[in-house]
Amino acid sequence: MERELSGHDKFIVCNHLNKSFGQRTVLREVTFEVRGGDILALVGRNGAGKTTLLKILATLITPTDGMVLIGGEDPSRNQLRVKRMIGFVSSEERSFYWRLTGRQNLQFFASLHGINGKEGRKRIDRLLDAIGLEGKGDLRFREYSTGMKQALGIARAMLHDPPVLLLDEPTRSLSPDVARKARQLFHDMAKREGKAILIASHNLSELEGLADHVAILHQGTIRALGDMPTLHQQAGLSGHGTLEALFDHFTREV
Amino acid sequence: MTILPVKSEKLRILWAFLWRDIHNEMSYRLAFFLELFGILPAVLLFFFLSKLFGDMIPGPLSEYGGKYFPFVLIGIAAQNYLSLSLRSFASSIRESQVSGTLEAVLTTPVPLPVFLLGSSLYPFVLNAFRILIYLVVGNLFFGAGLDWRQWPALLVVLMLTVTAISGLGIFSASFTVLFKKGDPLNWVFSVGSWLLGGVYYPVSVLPGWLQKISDFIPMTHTLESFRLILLGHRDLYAVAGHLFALGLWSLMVLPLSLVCFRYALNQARIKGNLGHY
Repeated sequence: MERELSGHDKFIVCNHLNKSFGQRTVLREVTFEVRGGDILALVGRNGAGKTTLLKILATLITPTDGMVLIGGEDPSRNQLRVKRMIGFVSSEERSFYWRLTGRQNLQFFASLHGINGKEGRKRIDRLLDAIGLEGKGDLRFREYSTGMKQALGIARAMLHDPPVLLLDEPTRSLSPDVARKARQLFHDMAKREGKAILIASHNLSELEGLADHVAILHQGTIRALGDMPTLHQQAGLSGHGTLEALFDHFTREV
Repeated sequence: MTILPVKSEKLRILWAFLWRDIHNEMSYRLAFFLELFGILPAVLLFFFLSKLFGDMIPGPLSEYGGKYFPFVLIGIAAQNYLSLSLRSFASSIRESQVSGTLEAVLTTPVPLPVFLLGSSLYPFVLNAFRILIYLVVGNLFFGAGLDWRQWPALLVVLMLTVTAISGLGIFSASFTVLFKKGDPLNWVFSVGSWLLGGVYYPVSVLPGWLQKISDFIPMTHTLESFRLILLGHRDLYAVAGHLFALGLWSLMVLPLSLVCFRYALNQARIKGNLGHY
């Protein structure tokens, strides 16, 4: 029996999380929470540890130490339950079967989540429409543009309607109109459906309008965490500064 | 997707894997055709060689009807089945590493044994279909004279063979997860089976100490069972000893291989190289 999650639950909890690959430390004492209905933006330079952090939450990488909870479950103890609760958008566009159509790809992954038949077909059609792939579902994946491939990745993450979405640069290659649709979708999923969303992106201006909270990750350490006004206050910047200004301030080498 | 009319969630997932692979493989038409009929030249070669030897070979082959062609036809078909099926675990993992789909599948709530079985289901089914074609062709066009009356016994042998080699295949896949390329186990087992398992000659022609080693190879028991049933007109009880050996092999190796694969996955998660290739 899966645990029911209420809107006030802390859907994602990271507590003093560390990760090293051999001698190389990638994440240090990372601590944050994302509640249902909240969008947390994870920003950082290339190599800051964003993808590693998202992959730890998606059960693909094991942390060296520290605690992770997804919907109250520890991934190291109950991986299958955690996997039912997460939708993961990878920044990797190779993660589909190139000789199958977009729809066939989604049907396959839906089946792995136990979604079949009429319900599955309906959900796939709805998601293809929502993400700007209407009429494109029956093209083979190899015929998709880079942006379409990425859009299909977003649709896949939402197939099983998970309460937690982990998005690694989900709009990187999308055309402006589809990126706007995707942002609207993320916003609706958080605010109307109470999902917890962790989104890593380089596009700071898009995050400004979307995220409730921002975590600035620099060399594996969270340098700043909070909503925009709090971060402005901490940085001693005027309340109208951009996220880019905040990012520059908190990642400046002392 | 055509959905299998079953209620079991695990069976539906297995069907999804099979459906994916059928669609994927059939899109490579030439490769599909070559895979299906690839060992036909070898069958022809041994048909003509057996003509050269003459129809009847007394002594070691007498237990199997005395004819070399049907003897070797079963040997080639079974060897082909076993080696391709054995490789299928490692190659499906390797393919999903290269295509980048391994991580995507591993973020779904599919239990590990179901994932492993699903990944290799298509090669097992395709290969079973292939050996059936060869044996039927050998019977109809080359006069192999196979006795099909005991077909349920053949199915039992095939199922036990599948479980026996699955354990080895999963060990092999563990190497692929850990080291990406290079699989010593597969090589050792394939060469060992080919040399000592009785593919081209009966095990009884080997020196005594090699015969003892061949007892530890599943191929020996599979081939003996197939030949005794199809050529020696025996029933299931007559091959009970071989079935017991295959069953024992499965019981020992399969659980161990699952533990090993889980360990390999955990190591890859610690190193962060699950999707690397």
